[in-house]
Order: sequence, then C-alpha cells, then structure tokens
Amino acid sequence: MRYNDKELQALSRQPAEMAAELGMRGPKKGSVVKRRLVKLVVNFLFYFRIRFGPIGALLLEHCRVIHEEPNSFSISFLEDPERKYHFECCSEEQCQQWMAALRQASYEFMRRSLIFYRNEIQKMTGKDPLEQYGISEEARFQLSGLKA
Amino acid sequence: MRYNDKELQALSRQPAEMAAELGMRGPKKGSVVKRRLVKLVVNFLFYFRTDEAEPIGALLLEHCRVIHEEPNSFSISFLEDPERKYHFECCSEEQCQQWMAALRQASLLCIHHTV
Repeated sequence: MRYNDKELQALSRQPAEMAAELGMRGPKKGSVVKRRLVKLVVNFLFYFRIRFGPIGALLLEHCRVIHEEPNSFSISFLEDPERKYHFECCSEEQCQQWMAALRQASYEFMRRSLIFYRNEIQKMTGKDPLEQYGISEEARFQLSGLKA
Repeated sequence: MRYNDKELQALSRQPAEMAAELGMRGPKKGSVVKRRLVKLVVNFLFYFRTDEAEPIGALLLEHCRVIHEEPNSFSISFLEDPERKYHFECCSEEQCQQWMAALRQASLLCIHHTV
C-alpha cells in the first residue's frame, strides 16, 4: 500500500510520549538483540539506529503487549500473533512504564477514555466538557459508541 | 521507512468515521479525476478503487492542511510538501464541509492535547 512516507518521517520527529534506548529483537527467527532508540508518538512506535534516522514504525492499533521474563516485553499484532517484536529494558520499572504507555497508545483506547471521563465529568458537574471544543455531537464521542 | 503493513491493511477494514465515493485527483501534474472509495479511520485516510477490497493507498493525517477548493471540492496537502495536493470532489457543498471538518479533527496529536 502506498502511503505518505514523508509525513510518517515527520511524525517520528515529533515530541514523544516516551523515548528510551532499549534492546530490540525483530520477529524473524534467528534475530539478534540490537540497541535501538525507541520512541512512542501517538499511535506509532518508531525505532531508530542510535545515531541515524528511523528504521521503522509500528502502527499500534490492535497490538498486544506481553510481559516477557524479567525486564522485557513483546509486541504482537492481531493479524500475526506469532510474530513478536521483543524489547529489553534496563529495569522492571522501565518495562512496566513502557507496557502501560503502549497499551494506551491506540486511538481506540483514547476514544474510550475520553468517553468515560466525559461521562464522569458530566455526572459530577452537570456540564459536558466537550462543549467548549465544539465536538459534543460527533458520533465517535457518544456513550453509545462504546462497544463491550 | 519500514512499517507493519498488515496492520495498516487491517485498519483499512475497520469501521470508518466517514466513508464515501468521491472524485479524487492525485498530486502529480496532469492527474485526472478518478472515482474512489475514500474512508477515514483513526488518523488515516484510505482510498480504494470502488470494486476492490484492498486500499490503493493511505494518507497519514497528522499534519495535513485541508483547503476548500471551488464549489463542492477540497484539497489535502502536508506540512512536508505543501505544493503537492490531493484533490477531492464531493457531490454537494454540505458533504464537502462534513469531510473538511472530519479531516481537520482526525489528528491524534491534536486530540491528545484535548484529552
């Protein structure tokens, strides 16, 4: 599929939610661990050679984040659950931080959070917090939009 | 840049915020208008040939600029390349306004700040 590569490159240069040097192993059999600069920007996980530009990007919608042995986690995708991208952190604490951030990076998670908090704020204050942004009526932000 | 193509393909099959058949003209000089199924999912705009299940392409919408062009049409261009415009023809001014509003709000970078 074609896509606008320059924009993805530009996104990789945006301020990151989280960025760190981690050990990364790709999904192919026989892959070895390499040090990579890993950067989370909105729903993408970018990974760079330490001194050069981005090598690749992982779109994080429908990803599964699993804890692997101490200090490591893996990311796999709904379409290919056996292909795992493996990341080694320097501590269990860093590992937990990354896992939490990655699980919350998807648009779907953001949308559900927004709907949840909107509902809570409305219950507590009687006011719709989205009204000031002019987006109260959008279908994607309705309570009924939440699927179980 | 490498990316997980299968996931992008899978995303193109998700329920869309908006989907419609529009006239689309690519950014190259001399491009002609073609009917495309255009689908907005999360922060991507996918476009398909009208009888095919796999998208031809995807536009990441994080830093896009949406401009109203003559009646019923709009164009999308990107920060990195403002002269290259993707041109879309709608069937009415109302449809055109709906698409422009939706595309301007598709950026996750902007939504994150709101949340």
